Formats: sequence, C-alpha cells, structure tokens
Amino acid sequence: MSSAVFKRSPMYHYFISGLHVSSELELRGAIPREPRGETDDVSIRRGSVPLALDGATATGPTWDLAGDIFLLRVPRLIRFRIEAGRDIVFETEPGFADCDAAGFVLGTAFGILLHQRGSLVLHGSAVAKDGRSIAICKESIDHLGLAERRGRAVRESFAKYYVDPPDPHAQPSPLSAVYVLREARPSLKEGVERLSLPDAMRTLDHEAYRPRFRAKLQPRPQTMAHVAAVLSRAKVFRLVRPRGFEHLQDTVAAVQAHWDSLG
Amino acid sequence: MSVGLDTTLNRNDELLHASVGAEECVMMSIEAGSYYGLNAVGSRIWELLESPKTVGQLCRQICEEFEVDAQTCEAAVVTFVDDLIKNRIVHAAES
Repeated sequence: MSSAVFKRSPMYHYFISGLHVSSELELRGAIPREPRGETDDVSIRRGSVPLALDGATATGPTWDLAGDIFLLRVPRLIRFRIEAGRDIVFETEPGFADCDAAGFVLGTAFGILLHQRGSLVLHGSAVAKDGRSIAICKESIDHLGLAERRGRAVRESFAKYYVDPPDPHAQPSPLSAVYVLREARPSLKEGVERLSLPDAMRTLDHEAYRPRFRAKLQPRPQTMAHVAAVLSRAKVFRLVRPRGFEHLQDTVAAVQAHWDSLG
Repeated sequence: MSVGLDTTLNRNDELLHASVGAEECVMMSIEAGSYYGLNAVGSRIWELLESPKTVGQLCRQICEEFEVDAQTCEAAVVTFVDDLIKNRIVHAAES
C-alpha cells in the first residue's frame, strides 16, 4: 500500500490570545510560532460535526449548548463543535473553501472558545509598546488607514481583508488602557475623556465580543469580576474623533500622545 | 422615609458587585441595567453592610477608620445612604 495514500494534513502553529494553538487550517492573520513539545492549549481540527447537539440545554437559530460543548452553525458554509475552551472541530459544507473558513475560526469560533475559558473578550484590536498594551475598540481596516497594507480578502463577497501586523507581538503584555472609539458629532466633542467607574464598567460590558453567547457561557458574576479585574489595572477612555482619512494621522498622534502621558 | 442614625440598613442582595483595586467597588443591577461605582469610603460602607447595620453604627466605624470628625461624618453618611436607598442599593428596614 502506497504511503502517499496516507498523507498527513499539514499542521500550523500559532500564538493567539496568549494561547498555544495547533491547527489543521491555515489561519492568515494569526501569529505563527514554532511547534512545542508539550500539548497545546487549543487544537483546531477538521472532523464530523453534527447538525444539532443531543441534550442541548439552550438553543438559538444557529447554535446549541450542551454542558461545555457549543455547536455553532453558519448555514450553508461551516459548522463548529467547540468544547471546554480547548478543542474546535470544524466541518465545511461542499464548495466552501478552507481559506474562507479561517475568518470564522478566528472570529466567532475562537471568541466562543475564549468565553468558555472564562476570559473577558473585547471586540477590538491591541497595540503593544514599552511592555504595555492598549486595546482599541470599534474600528475597521479602512478607518485605520490600513488600505495600503490590505491583504487577501477574507471572503470574496465581503469587503473584509486580512492585514498582517508589521511587527507581531507574541508575548503577553499587561493591558494598561482601553480606548473606546466614538464619532464626533455636534453633541459629542473631539477629544479623550477618562470614563468614570460605572461608565467604564458599562462600556466594557457592552464592548464584549458576541455578548449573547457570552451570556450563555459565563455566569454574570464571573463576567463582572473579569471587568472589575480589568478596571483594577487599566484605565478606560472614550476617544471621540472625526471620521475620514484626512483626520486619521491627527487621531493617531492624539492617541499616541495621550498614551505616552499615562506614564 | 427620612434617614436617621437609628435607621437600620440592609443590602439589596440582587445587586452584583466586585472590587476594583484595593479600595473601589462596582455594582450592577441586572434588573435595572444600571451600574454604580463606589469610592474608598463608599466601598467600606458597602462592606460593613454585609450584615444589617444602623446608620449610627456605620458612622462610628467610619470615624474610627478615616480622618473625619463625627459631625461631618454623620452628614456625609446620611446623604450617601439617602442616595443608596433612592437607587435601591440598600433598603431601610421597617422599624
């Protein structure tokens, strides 16, 4: 029997959200790393995923929850079985390419896995500098002026693109600030304002990734404790800025100057 | 109902709360969708109300722990407790 018949799937290794991940799917945009001898924190494998979960204790139009197993269906495209914050098994529908699956893996599926692990998951991007990180919530590649670094489209029918960070930061660094972006309006002046404790709490609560899923996966007291833990070490600011490319450099300069002033 | 030194207070146990750092505290009412923040003194009062206390008992404890005279303390605590009651963070027990 020819050994060529039994061809192993290539395995990719990444560092994502502080976790060592091994994946049968190439995940563009994730930080690659060398494989390590120990068991990885998360594995992403192709396999058989049912249409529904037996014994589901909660269901929605595109998901089922049974204990520590979450089933996610993207109709006509892909299904995921996400278990115990550790394993993601995916099954694509005929005709759905692997390169299109990666966006769903790195997005909703991994977000659910992080909720299962009890993490506070914010919907935003992060920048590291001088041993600290800041998170920026609510922005898009075009609004960040990254169009010239636009990579391959995540999916053909979407104006959504991969962008590789110029200097990926693989080591965790403590979060020191969160900037929540808002658009300037007559009633909302440009500038940076530190939010009061209750406003910061409300904001972080509302900036959670996939809040409906989080509500099913994490008890409310746990979520609140996580937010409080972030507030213990990071300041939360509202950054009101004008939209439009012509203002981008000024906004970037304002964020950098403000961040530097935090000490 | 006016708050006096003999008013006994009980926490609203439906509120979620968590410490922020060493001194502050945040609270949330899921029912009302409201969020509250307490500074060091407010957090200490909330902590003391783990068991029912009168306003007078709170004032005596706060005077011992913080640098404040009794008169200023009473006025501030009564105002604060009034706010807590209005926001249903604590309940005043029926006498």
